[in-house]
Amino acid sequence: MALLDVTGVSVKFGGNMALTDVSLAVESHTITGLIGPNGAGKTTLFNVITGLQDPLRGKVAMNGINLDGFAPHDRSQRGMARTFQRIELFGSLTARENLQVGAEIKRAWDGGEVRAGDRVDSAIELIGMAPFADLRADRLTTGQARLVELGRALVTRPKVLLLDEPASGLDADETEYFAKILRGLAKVGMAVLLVEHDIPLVMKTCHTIYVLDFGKVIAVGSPAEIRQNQLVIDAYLGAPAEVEA
Amino acid sequence: MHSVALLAQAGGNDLFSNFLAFTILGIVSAAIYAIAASGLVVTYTTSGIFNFAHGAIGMMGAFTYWQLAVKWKWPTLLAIAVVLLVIAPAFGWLIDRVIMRGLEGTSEVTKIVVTIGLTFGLIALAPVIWSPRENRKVQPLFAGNKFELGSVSITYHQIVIIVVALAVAVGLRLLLYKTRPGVSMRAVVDSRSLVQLNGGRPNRSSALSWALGCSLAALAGILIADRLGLEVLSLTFLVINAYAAAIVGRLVSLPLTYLGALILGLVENYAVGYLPTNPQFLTDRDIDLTTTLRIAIPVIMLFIVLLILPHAPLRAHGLQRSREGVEKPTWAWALVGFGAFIVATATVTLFLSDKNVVSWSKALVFALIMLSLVPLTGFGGQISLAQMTFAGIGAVTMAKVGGESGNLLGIVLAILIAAAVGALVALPALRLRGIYLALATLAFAFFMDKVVFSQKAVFENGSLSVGRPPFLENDRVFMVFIAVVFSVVGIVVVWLRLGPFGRRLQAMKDSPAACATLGLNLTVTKLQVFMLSAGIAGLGGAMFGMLQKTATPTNFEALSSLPILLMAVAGGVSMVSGALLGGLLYGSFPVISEAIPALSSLLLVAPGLIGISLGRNPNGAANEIGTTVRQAIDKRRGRIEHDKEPSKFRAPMEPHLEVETLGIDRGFGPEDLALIDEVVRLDEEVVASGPP
Repeated sequence: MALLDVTGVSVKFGGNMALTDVSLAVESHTITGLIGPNGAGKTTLFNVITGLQDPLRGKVAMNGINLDGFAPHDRSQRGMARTFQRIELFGSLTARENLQVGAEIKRAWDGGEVRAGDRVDSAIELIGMAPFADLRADRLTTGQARLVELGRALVTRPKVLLLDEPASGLDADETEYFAKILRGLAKVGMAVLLVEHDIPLVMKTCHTIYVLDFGKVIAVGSPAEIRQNQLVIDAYLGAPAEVEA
Repeated sequence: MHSVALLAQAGGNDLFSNFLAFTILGIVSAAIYAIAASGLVVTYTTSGIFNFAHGAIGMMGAFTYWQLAVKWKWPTLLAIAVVLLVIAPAFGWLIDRVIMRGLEGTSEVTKIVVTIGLTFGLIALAPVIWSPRENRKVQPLFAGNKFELGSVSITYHQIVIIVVALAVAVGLRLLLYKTRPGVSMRAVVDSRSLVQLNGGRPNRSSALSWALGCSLAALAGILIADRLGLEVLSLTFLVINAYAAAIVGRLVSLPLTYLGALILGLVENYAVGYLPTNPQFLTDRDIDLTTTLRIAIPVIMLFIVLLILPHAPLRAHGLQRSREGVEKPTWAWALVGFGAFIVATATVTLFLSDKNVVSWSKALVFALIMLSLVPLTGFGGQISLAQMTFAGIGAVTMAKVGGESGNLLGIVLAILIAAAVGALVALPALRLRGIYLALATLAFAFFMDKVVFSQKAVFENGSLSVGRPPFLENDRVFMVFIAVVFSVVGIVVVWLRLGPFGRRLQAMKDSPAACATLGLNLTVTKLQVFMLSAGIAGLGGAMFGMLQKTATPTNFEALSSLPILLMAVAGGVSMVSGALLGGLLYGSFPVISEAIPALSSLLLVAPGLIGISLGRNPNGAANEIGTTVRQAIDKRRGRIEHDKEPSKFRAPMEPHLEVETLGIDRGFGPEDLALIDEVVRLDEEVVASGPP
C-alpha cells in the first residue's frame, strides 16, 4: 500500500474521456513524475486526487483510506497539498500573507505546536522569497508566484505534495535550486507527485515516472526506462537527442 | 381573481373540472414564468452576468406597452411589436454598451451590484414617468374572449401565453445551437478574446444577448400585466418566480428551467385552489392566507431547490487581472480616525437643529448597517440583499425585549437573533456559488416583507414603540452614542481584517479553490461571516428603532436593502470608512431633497445611478479619497512611491523586463534540509512507513 493510491480513475467531459482507467501509486520518500503532452489529462488527474473533480469511476486512497466523498478541505486535512498550473494565489494579499493563510488554516484545525508565523518565516527563508515577501501576490512574476504557491502548500505540512508545472517560469539556476528543495522534501519523508514539462528536471529528480497520453497511462518506469520507451518517444519525448539530461 | 371566476364558471361541485381549471391556470402561470426565466438564463449563459434587473426590465416593458396600446390607443399587435422588437432590444443594447462593457476586470460582486443598481434605478424611474396616482389597467388579449373546454372556459389570452412559451423554447434552442450568432453568443462567455481571434465579434454577440434578454423580460411583463396589474413592485418581483424556475436548471439549462416553471405554476395554483382559503372577513389576528401562499410558494420552492441542488465543483480560475483591491487599514490610522469621528459627531450635535440631529443620526445608523456588509461583501466577496430585513428583526427584538425603558439586553438579543436567523437563511445557499446566496437573501427579504412583517402579531398596530434607556433620552446624546457604537463595531471589523479570519475571508474571495485545497471549510467560513454580518445589521436595526422610538414595517421593506448595498459599495465596501461615507451620503439625500425639492426625484434614482456607474471605480469613494490624501502627504514629504498606489495594479504575470531575481543566490546545504524539516515536519508514522 502506497501513501497515495489512485485506482482505475476515469473522467468524462461531455462526450470526451479525459481520463481512462488511470492508476498510479505515490510513495513517501519519493518523487514521482507525471508527464505527457498538453491535454493528456494531468491537471484533471490532480483535480480528481484533490477532490475538485468527481471521477466517473475509480477511487483515490491515502494511507489505505478511501477518499471517496471527501471534500477538498477534508483531503487537505489528511495531508494533501497542491499547486496549480494556472497560478491560484490570493491576489489581493501579499506573498507572505498567502503563506500565513495556509499556515493559519492548518493550525486552526489541528492545533499544531509550532506558531504559524514561525513556519511561515522558515518557508520564506527556504524558498528564498524574502525579497518579494511583502509584495502583493498579483504583482509577482510567474517564477516568483510559483515559488509562493510552493511555499503556501508546504506550510500546511503535507504528506503528499502535488506540483503542477512548478518550474515553468524559473530560470536555469532557479530550477537547479528548486530540484534540490524537491529532493530535500523527499528526504524528510514527503511523497511528491510532479507534473512538469521540463524533462531534464523530471529525469534528474524523479524515482518513478508515469506517462499520460490521451487520458491513458502509456508507460511507467524509472527515468532510464522511460527514456528508452518507444511509445513515450513517439507520443511525447521525440528523438532521444532532445532529452539530454 | 381569475381562479375565483373560473371556479364559479366551472361549477363548484365538479371535482374534476375544478382540477382541470387549476391545472390550466397552473400551466398558464408556468408559461409566463418560463418565458421570464428563459430570458434570465439566456443573458446568464451568454454574458456570464446574472441580471437581477430582469424583473424590473419586464416591468418597464409592461408599462411601455400600456403607454402605447392603452394610453395612445395604438393597435395591440403594433404596440407589442414595437415594445418587443424595437424598444426592449434597444434598451438591452444600451445596457450592454453603456454599463456592461465597463465591467471587464471587475469581480463578480461588482457585476451583480451593478445589475442591482439598474433594478433600483428602474424602480425609482417608473413612478417618475408613470405617476402612481393614475389608475392603469391592461386588458387581456382578444378582449378576454374565451371558449369552452368541457365545463372549463379558457381564454384566448391563455392559449396565446402557452403557445408563445413553447415558441420561445423552440426558438431559443434553434438560435443558440443552430445559428452562427447563437453559437458565437455562447462562446463569448467562455473567452471574449478567443472569439475575436476566430473572426467573431464579441461586442456584437454580447449586445445581442442583452437585447434578447430584455425582449424576453418585456414579453413576460406584458403577458402577466393583466393578472398582476400595472404595479411596479409586483412586476419587478416576478423575477423571484423566474429565479425559482431557473435554478432548477442551475441557471443554464433551458429544458430544466421549463420543468421548474411548470412545477412552480402548478403547485402555486393547486395551493390556492385546495389549501384552506381566507375566512369571509379577516380579523386582526387572522393570517391572509391567499396572499401569503402566492408569495410564499416561490420562495419555499427556491429554498428547497437550493437544498437539493448538487454541489457545484470548485474551479481554479487562475490569478485574475483585477482593478479591485484596497490598502489594508493600519491601527494608528484606524484609532485616530474613530477618535476624530466621535469628537466630530459630538461637536456637530451642538450646532444642528433638532430635526437635523435626527436626520443625521439616521445617516449614522445606515452607516452602521452598511458596516455589516464590510466583512461579508468587502472581505469575503459574498452578497446579501436582506440587510434591512435583519435590521427589522433587530428592531422588533429591541421593541419586544427592551420595552419602554429600552433595556439594553434587547440590543444583545437583537444581535443574536438576527445572527441566528441569518444562519438559517444562508445555510442552504452557502455550499453553492455566491450568486445563490444573493438570490436566497432577496427571496428571504421579500418573504419577510410581505408575509412576516405584515402580520399583526409582529408589528401590532402597524408600528411598534421602541424605548431608550433614560441616559440616552436626549437626541444629541443618542447621536454620539450611535457614533460610539459604530466605532466599536468598526474596531472589531478592523481587528478582523488584520487577523487570521480577515486574511482567510480575503483569500476565499480571491480563490475559493485554493482555500479548499489548503484545508479551509468554505461553508463554515461563509456561515461565520454571514452570521456576523446579520448580527451587525440586527444591531443597526435596534439602533434604528431606538432612534425613531418606533419601528414600522415600511422601514424594513425588501427594497430598502438594495440602496444599502449600493451605497455601501459606492462608498467603498472593503473599508470601514467606506461604510461611513456611504451612510452619510445616503442619509444626506432626504436632507438635500427637503432643502431643494427640485432635486427630489433625482435623489430617488441616485442610488441606482451610483450603482450602475460602479464599473468606473469599483473600489469605492473612500479608497479614492484615501489614495489622494496619501499621495498628497507623500508628495509633501517628497517621496512619491508609485509602487504603493493601490488602485492601479500592473497586469499580473506580466513578464518583467529586468532580470528576474527570486532571491535565490545561495547553494543548497545541510542547513536547508534542516529548514525543510522545520517547515514541513512530517508525522513520524509516515516518515517511518516509507522506504529507507
